[in-house]
Amino acid sequence: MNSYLILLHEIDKMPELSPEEMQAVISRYKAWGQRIRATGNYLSSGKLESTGRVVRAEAGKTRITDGPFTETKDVLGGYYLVQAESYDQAVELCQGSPHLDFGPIEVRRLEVV
Amino acid sequence: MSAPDELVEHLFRHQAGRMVSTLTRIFGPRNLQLAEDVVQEALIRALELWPHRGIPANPAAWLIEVARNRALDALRREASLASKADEVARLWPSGGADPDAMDDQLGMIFLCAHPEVPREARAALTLKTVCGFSTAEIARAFLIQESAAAQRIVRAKRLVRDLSFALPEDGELASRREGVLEVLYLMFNEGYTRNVGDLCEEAIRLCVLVADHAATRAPAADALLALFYLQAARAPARLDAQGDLFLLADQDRALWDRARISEGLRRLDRSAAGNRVSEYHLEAAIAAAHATAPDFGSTDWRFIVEQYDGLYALNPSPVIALNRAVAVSRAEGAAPGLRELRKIAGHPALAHYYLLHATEARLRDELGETSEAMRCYARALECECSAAERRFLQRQALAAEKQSEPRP
Repeated sequence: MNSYLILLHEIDKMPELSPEEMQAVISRYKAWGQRIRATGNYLSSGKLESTGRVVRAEAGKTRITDGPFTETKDVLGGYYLVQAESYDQAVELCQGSPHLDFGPIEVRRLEVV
Repeated sequence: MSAPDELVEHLFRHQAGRMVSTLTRIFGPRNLQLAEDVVQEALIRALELWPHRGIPANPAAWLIEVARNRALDALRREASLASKADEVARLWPSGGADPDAMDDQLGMIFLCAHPEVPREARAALTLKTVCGFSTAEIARAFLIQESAAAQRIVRAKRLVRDLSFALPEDGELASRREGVLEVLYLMFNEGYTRNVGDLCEEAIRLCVLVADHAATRAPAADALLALFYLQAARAPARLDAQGDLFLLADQDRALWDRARISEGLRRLDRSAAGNRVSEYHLEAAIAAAHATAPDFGSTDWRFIVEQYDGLYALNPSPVIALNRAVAVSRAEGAAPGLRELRKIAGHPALAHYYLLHATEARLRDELGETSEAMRCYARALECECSAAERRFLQRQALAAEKQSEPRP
């Protein structure tokens, strides 16, 4: 078993959803979250705030600026940490995620160090 | 308190309507857009967070808390509105309960149906603000382009800017309430004709507010609500699995919603309190006659013809005359029905109305005038109608044709 990070990229431009549609999306997220937990592969998950700090070393000093680190085009919105046998299994866990309606999901294996 | 397993159905839609109404009262109709923006931000926040943190124990209170903070932020930025902050904080105390906002929603409904707002925009603005419909949902509900729906709403918002949010005074109340009931009637009919159940349910929800509130209740509101319940009770039997229409005669009455029929009859009883019979009273009486008939054969058609007489006296429209002719044909037979129909057949408003031609087709068919009946079905099919109605007409025409074929 390896650990995999399922990275939900922040939605660049949210389509205009009605309250009714938003509620439906939340219900689907809930169902997906429950499914992931029920598999026993789930370790943890979280939502990142949309801004933060970026720390850089410049001429021997650290410089701190407000983030996010804007060079990456997609900003990370949230993550799930799961265990899986393979990429195939980790990717399978993403099936049915309502996030896919709005943006991509990135799956990365944590290297054993 | 543990988190609810599932959100209450339509929670977001109704909570949005409540919050937009309350904020519009506090900010004034001039700032309706700001009220909508604040509420939209609160809902989006829930959409961002709840998938990760789970649904909060009291979702409505959570949404209000976020909307409250957003509203206070917005007011700090808007100098002209700074004085409103106290009212927001008082009305939505931090960590407080979830107020039902009934009065505010009523104020909003009356504002949307104000005579200053053009007729065709009233229902759209009501759906947008009190019912939390998006422009796209409104466009679908009324079969119009999204840009047209957006235009109606923008224009209506401009027209309500300087109007008062307060409920009308006694002298004005009755006529303003008539305007409101007309909007609800239109919403329901649009939903019923085209099977957009959400429209019917919203019309019912708002009509309950009007009919039950001490400041606005009236026999006509009860009558309209009775009509809604009695009609909606039959909805489960109107369509088959393919979405094809069942006529009243062919519906499985066991599928009718008994609870709604009782509620409709109770409301109809209550509506008899006044001394004025409105069109809604008569239409509800007709719906009640259908809803209480154990089968199609025992429908009291003479009673129904009488109600149509009353309706025609109040509103001599060719569509009412057409419905009356149908009732006459059931009460007295196809030939008298056809005689009534001939009286209005040349009316320009009915020339392209499929039900006129479909009715004539049925009556001709019953009288054995098959080729004339087929011509009428063809004319009906040339008119504008829904896909389900079209399939229904095609089935009827086919059945009439088959019956007339000589047996081998």
